[in-house]
Amino acid sequence: MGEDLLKQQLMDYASHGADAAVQPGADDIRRRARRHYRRVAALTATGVLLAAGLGVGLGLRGGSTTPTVNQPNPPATNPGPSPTKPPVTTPPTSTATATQPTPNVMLRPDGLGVAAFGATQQQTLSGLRRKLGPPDETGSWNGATPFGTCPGDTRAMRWGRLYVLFTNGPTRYAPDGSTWHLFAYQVDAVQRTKVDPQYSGPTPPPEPPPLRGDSPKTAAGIGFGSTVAELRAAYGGRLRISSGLPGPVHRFQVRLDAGELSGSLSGRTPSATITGLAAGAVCGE
Amino acid sequence: MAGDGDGFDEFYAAAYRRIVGQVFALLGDLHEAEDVTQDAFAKASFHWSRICTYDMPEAWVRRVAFNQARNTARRARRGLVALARHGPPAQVPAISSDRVDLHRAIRQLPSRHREVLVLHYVAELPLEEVARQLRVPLGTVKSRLNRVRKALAQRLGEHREGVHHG
Repeated sequence: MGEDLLKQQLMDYASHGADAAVQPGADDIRRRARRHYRRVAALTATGVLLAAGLGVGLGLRGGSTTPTVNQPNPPATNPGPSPTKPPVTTPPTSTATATQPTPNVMLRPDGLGVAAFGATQQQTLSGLRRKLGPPDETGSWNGATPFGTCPGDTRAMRWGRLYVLFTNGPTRYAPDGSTWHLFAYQVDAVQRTKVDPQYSGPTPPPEPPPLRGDSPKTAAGIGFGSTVAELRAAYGGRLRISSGLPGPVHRFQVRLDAGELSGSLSGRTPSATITGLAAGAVCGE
Repeated sequence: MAGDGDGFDEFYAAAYRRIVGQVFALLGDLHEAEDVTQDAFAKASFHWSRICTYDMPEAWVRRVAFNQARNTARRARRGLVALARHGPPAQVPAISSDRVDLHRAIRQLPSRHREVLVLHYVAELPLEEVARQLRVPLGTVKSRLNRVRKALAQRLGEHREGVHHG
């Protein structure tokens, strides 16, 4: 079959499908997104509530082959979520725009301090292991992941509440996508790596992951559990808080010169706290 | 979340038809293609503030749609979900015998071969870009395409021969 003829037939075939397809309005698509993310939020909340109600352990018993789960710390010895709030120590603009690597692990809009987004997995792990030791667990997926549908194959490694995500797919940090590289991180309240190997949707995690030592923080001292008051004090006019579905009910965004930090909140009041924090390339759900 | 005036509506209006056609060519099922494509655009609308800064937002949507289509677990369920969401299948315009032959021939191809076929001939991506998107060497793309051409030529030829002589 000739090249041109094949192309023509395929284009004709695709056009036939496109012509017959129904195209909903853009508002319908937004409603679909709202429904989708409402389901995700509900499933996640259900998982957390179930875990709290059952009072089960900390979910590091492994059992599945993909993702793989390492258990360096027995659940019984984990201290659980840190009750302390990080102090606000640094003005937001003093270090937030810096792009040089830092000696410590830090939640930055352009990476984790010891490695910027786009750094190879080897470089990143070398820096993280030096500061944090080996990860608590790892997971790997092809296609849908508990973090959404990410670009390419995805690996996640968790230190306490910190998930560090790598991909071999093209991202804005590594457009050729030829090497495994750091493309996002997420500080979370729920354990996302322990899911069915045939993962195909937002399975709620069985319980929150344990904290091991301090969670990393931003240059301004903001991290998991920081209050809205502390967020405002740290980022002032760069902070935007929004509420409403889809997704987490209360969300925040901090736009800095080097990029954006975003996350979820338990509420909007000054005493409400950060329940999740992320930066990097987005994964579709 | 995308809102009025942020460019999502225009992007969606312009790109939907292209993506749904490509996904249809990949899956061979219109309702499944609509469902996958609309899901991908829904996700794009949610993350639009970031995706609109990408060089090629349409490539992101296609990637999400293709990933979703690839997930066999979802595909198995999608028929039921689509039925529940959309009701019984709508009437699809009659399709010519040539297209029926092509449809059958494409459906018999392995999914990784179909992806190469659709990305190169329907999405009109150069082979280098196909290789990049599928994260396989260029040589692999070329050999898959070669096998696809031969397989299609053989299957279409066999069928037409069968029609002529049968």
